[in-house]
Amino acid sequence: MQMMARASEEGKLPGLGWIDATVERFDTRLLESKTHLPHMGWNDARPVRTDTLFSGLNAPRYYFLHSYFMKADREENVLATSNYGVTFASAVQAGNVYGTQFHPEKSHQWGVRLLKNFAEFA
Amino acid sequence: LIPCLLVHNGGLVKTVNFDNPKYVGDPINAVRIYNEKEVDELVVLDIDATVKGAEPDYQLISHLASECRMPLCYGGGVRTVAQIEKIISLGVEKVAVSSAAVENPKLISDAATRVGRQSVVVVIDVRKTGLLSPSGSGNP
Repeated sequence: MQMMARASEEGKLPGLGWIDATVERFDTRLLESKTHLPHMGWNDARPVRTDTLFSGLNAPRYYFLHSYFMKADREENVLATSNYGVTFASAVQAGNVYGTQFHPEKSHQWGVRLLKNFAEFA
Repeated sequence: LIPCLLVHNGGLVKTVNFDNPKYVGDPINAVRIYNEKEVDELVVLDIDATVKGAEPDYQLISHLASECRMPLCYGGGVRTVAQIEKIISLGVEKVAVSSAAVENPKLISDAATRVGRQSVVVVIDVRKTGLLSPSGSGNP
């Protein structure tokens, strides 16, 4: 998903630019709990929109593994948010392009349902 | 909840004090059961590989990783960074090292540099008399 952004703090080359967004590294000083990077493990995703990827998903949980997060220019591109010290976009969309920060293939029923949703409207 | 499965002769076993392995089922079938139970992670340890000096069973690992609907940690017969990279490339989240890490602690930092420290796990088997080393070096 991070490659779909314009640019990332992780590298110098431009991203694909499919989502109007930039990618930043988590600032561990801002994390509320005494936790560290990478953000690895299960976390909640709060769907902003429930009509596409998250259709039928109530309080889904997903498996995450990342140290950088996407900051979208416009809220309309954010499908779900999660919190790891800061609130970040855990799923994004622009037109027919969808991205998830978490690993749906490693996230039990919540991942299976999300992939099924994607396959159905794709 | 993180179940830990032991692989011996291609099947899953339950042991008592690292001994008397008792067959309890097929690994892939167990993964499906734990998918149903929605466990947080799964740890699979091949208890033959190091003893036999064999390579990890990459075919089994790949099969396990593709069946797993949760993060997977594999251990057994892992001695080199190249093996760790290969296992991660098969879709495994974490690799556990045990006797190789005791013999060569640098393996831990070398592996962490290549695949990230989040993916390197060290398993330490302890008996009352000291460290248990399956490869026979060091005290039992």
